[in-house]
Amino acid sequence: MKRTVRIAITTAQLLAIAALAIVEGLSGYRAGVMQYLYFKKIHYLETLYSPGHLGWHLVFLSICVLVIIMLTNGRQRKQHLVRYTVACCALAAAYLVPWFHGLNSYAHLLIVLEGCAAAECIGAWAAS
Amino acid sequence: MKKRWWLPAWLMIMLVGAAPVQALATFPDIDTQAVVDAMNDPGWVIVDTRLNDAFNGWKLDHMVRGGHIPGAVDFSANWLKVDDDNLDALLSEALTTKGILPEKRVILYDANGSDAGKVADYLSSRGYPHLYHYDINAWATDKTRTLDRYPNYQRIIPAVVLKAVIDGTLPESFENSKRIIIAEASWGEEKTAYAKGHIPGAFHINTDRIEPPTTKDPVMWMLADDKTLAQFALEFGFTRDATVIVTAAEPLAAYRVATVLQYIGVGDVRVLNGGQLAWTMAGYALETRRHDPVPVTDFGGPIPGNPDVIDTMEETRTGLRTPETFTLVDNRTWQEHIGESSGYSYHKKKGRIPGSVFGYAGKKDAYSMDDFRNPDKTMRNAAEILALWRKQGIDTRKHLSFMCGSGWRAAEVYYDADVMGLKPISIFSDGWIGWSNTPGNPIESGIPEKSSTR
Repeated sequence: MKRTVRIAITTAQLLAIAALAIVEGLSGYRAGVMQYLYFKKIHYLETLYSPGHLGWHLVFLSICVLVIIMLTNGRQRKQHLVRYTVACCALAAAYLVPWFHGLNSYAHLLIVLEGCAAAECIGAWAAS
Repeated sequence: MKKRWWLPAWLMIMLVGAAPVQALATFPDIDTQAVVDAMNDPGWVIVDTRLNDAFNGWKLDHMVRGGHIPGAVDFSANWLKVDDDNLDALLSEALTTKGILPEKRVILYDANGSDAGKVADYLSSRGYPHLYHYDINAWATDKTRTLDRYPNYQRIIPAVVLKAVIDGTLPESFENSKRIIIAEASWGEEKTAYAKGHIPGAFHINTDRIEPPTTKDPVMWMLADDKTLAQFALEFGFTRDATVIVTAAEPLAAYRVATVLQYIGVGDVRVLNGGQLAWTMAGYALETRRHDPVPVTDFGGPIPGNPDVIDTMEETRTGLRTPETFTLVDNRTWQEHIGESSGYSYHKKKGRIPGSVFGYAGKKDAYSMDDFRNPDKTMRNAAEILALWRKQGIDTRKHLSFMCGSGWRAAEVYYDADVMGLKPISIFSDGWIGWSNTPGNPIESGIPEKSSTR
């Protein structure tokens, strides 16, 4: 059961990132895809990911790490924390490196990476 | 044994051979007097089967004069070659709209001796029994006979004329062109369309250069400010005295860029009628080698040189207050006009500008223009466009300001109206998206009281 959940979560994380890459590539060729992605990007950057909401995202990620620590121990804890840290580092890179800001799927990338970090809580819960 | 295979083979030869004979037998030549008699007889219909550009006014196929026989309708042999799953339905609709009906006697005329035959074969296959052939050269060489052509037919050019320009000759209406520039317009980077094939010698214009997206909510692709457009003109080498031919895989992009170049002040802007499809259907090859524009430092005049081409929001509001002299023509789908659809994935507001009149565009979506195009994407017969507008009560003697979502569809309609010689005309470039995103602007929806349905 634990192994199945872990595989399912990893697969979902990889699929989400792959889908983003495909959609970003497609947006270079299809006006409709680009327009929709760009529209959503501006919308999310002015609402969910506006500078004023940064604090809430840090609180959310902090809660996630606490949940992982509370629900796991030993090797399990280390495993989930490493994966969580990788997702957070990618999120920080996307947030700080200007190249990512130019992507049409930039806002969706932030959502997916934050989702990847949060998914480790589910993995930790399943492992507990 | 010999007899057993010989008989079906003989029958096959007779059947294959009989088909053209039958078509020829029902397709006799007639003379000019018969055409003149047919012009006033409702039992006859005179059909121009040449390229639509010849119908519009261009002298093609070595004609001594350009244009079409007064009262003739168009049904180009070129349409029969279009690769479209829906072609049969499009052609059937065209035949009905133009009154080319099986019970009528149909005169098919051409100038090259082959177009009329192709249309005759098609009509024969649909059961048209009374077909006649006329060579329009006989009409054109008789100076006493009138040929109708659109006042500004030269604004949309046929592929054969563009080819002549590329080959270094100055065809009809280009005699005074000092500097000819060919530009290919499309949305996005070169890889989206330009790199796959373009008109030889053309450089690429990404439409985002003239209408960059906003960087804040609400997201819109609105026409850039005059300073940005001036920079664009210099960077791409456009000058006031240049002749610019705009082409595109999708003609909408060409018309959008062409109208913006007109607004900027380029003196002579043309569009390839039918876009790349016209080029390839004429048998010419596309090129994949990229070309760069040659920048200039001086445009040669103020920018915008023709501000009347584009109506501002305030000019549109002012116009709407005087409906006796001004009509805002809504060139969106009926669903967009009545508020059933916004038309765009990035725009959620639905409805129309109060006072605007439905002016047609396409049936399918916000990118379709079938009401203004022939099956080969060339400009539709002006009389049919005017008939659509009459149905909606649009008086073409008034100032017509065309609008759509944000200026693309309206640009094509503006060009058609310009070819027809209508004036004054303009484009409300901000369109529905700009209007509905401006706080305080009134909006309405539902079926308008004065309007007919599609």
